[in-house]
Amino acid sequence: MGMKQPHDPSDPTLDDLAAYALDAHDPAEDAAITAYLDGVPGAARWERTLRDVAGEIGAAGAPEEDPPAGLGPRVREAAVGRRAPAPRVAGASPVDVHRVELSRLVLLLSDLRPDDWSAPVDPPEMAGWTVHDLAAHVMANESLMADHLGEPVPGVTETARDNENRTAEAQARHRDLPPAAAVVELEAAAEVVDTIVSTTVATRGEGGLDDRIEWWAGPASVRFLLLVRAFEAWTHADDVRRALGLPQVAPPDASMLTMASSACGFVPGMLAARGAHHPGRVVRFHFPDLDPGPAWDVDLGVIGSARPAGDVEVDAEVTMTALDFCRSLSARLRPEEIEFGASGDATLAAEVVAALPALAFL
Amino acid sequence: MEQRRQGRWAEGVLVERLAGGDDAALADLYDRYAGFVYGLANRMLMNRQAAEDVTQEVFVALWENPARFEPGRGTLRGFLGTMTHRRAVDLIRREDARRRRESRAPADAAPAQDLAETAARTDTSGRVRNALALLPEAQRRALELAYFQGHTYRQVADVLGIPEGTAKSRLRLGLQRVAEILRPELSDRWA
Repeated sequence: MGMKQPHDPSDPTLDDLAAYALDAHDPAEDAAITAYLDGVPGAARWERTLRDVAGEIGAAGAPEEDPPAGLGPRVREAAVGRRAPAPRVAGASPVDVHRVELSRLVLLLSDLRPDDWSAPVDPPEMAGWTVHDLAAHVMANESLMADHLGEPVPGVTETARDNENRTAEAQARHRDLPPAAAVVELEAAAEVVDTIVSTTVATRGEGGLDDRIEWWAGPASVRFLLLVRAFEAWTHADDVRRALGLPQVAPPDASMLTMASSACGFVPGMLAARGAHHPGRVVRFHFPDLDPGPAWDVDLGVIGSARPAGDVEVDAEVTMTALDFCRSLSARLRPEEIEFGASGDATLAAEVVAALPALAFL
Repeated sequence: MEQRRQGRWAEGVLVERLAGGDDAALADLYDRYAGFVYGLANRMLMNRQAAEDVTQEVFVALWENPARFEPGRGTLRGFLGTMTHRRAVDLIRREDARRRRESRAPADAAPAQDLAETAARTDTSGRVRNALALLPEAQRRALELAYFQGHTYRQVADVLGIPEGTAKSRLRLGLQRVAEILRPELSDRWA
């Protein structure tokens, strides 16, 4: 950058600036160096670059250490005391739900250690898969959505358009690549999808998400597929956590509300997949773990019929956590493990709960 | 495919959520980085209470002003490392904190940790590790003393028994070498 290196303390040398970037200068030099940086933008940029690099050295070299258990709540209390959180929204948009869950999965995978990638995952339909295989599977489907939205992800060469074959192609290609490649591609695919749908909403409003695109399970609205992708990202993030002995992590409440309420509409389809049909009968779902304890009425004869609970007679009421409801949908809870309360037609309620995993293959 | 930094988009989403006042994002941030921030602070300060204070300050500061992080400049972990380091150094430089620290572990007897052997977990940290491994031992040791033990260049010179100017030069050369590997586009701008 062509800076001279004099010894006048008011005109620091490159060595001085490097020491400053490391916070290793003498405190007595502080005023002179900051004054110099304020007046020489090129030097300030150089110092900031070195400071960023010093931060990366810390990020790579500092040992992780579990903080005391009480520190998290204290941090939260202090933080919200300085800036209040935003008010809870009734439910996040499908775009936000997708963005949040995909980004959380990417960050989880980014934190894995080399040995973690070969850990086996436990869902029965993924027998023999490792965490690496699972990451390739999620990437395969996320990049497929990008394909169907019209913007293929650079570097992703899979051509199959069905889940099984595309996953197999992606897993085969990634077997000889470093695991980080799967994360990079997954993140790139998620960003492509996010950018496209965000632009759609910005230009056409949320109605633009009702456009239908191709999908391996049949054409579906972008809105629905965003939620499916988010649901898959969350479910598989928990699969990874289980494989590594880490605690499960629920989505934020606003996301959970959107996923649970949307999924209620598919309960008739879940029953139909089990050969059960109950036209004209209505079940009310209560989710007490969500604020403010919302409820939805589902007409079991009409797919997509869920609506906020109203002043109508229902045949049965089911009370369960939204978390268990959603984990049941992905078959991560067996029906006998689900804790739920029922009133009204208890047989109907039990049949509905038992059918929840019927569309888990989606 | 085009070279991209792993986690750049995802970290940007996390920071956007913080900016939007999403307290679930604050929980995500803490869950992901608290071990690192606390570990770095405790390594530098050798005082658990002080490390807790620094950890709290860092997370509260980012929650208050998330726009301080620019995803294009580096990783969120690195940014938090910078915030943590600066606060820890401030504490170290206060005389009483220095006395407490020195009574627990003299500077030249502090537990050594070879930077180059530290496990890398992300693409960026892997590149940092590789860059550090390429440094001459003298530069790596100077960086270790300055960064992780919060020494000034004068203290580095004392510990290593070298002139102050040499200590500063080693810090610059070491940092610059790492920077060139992390950000090759800068390599022609150092002269």
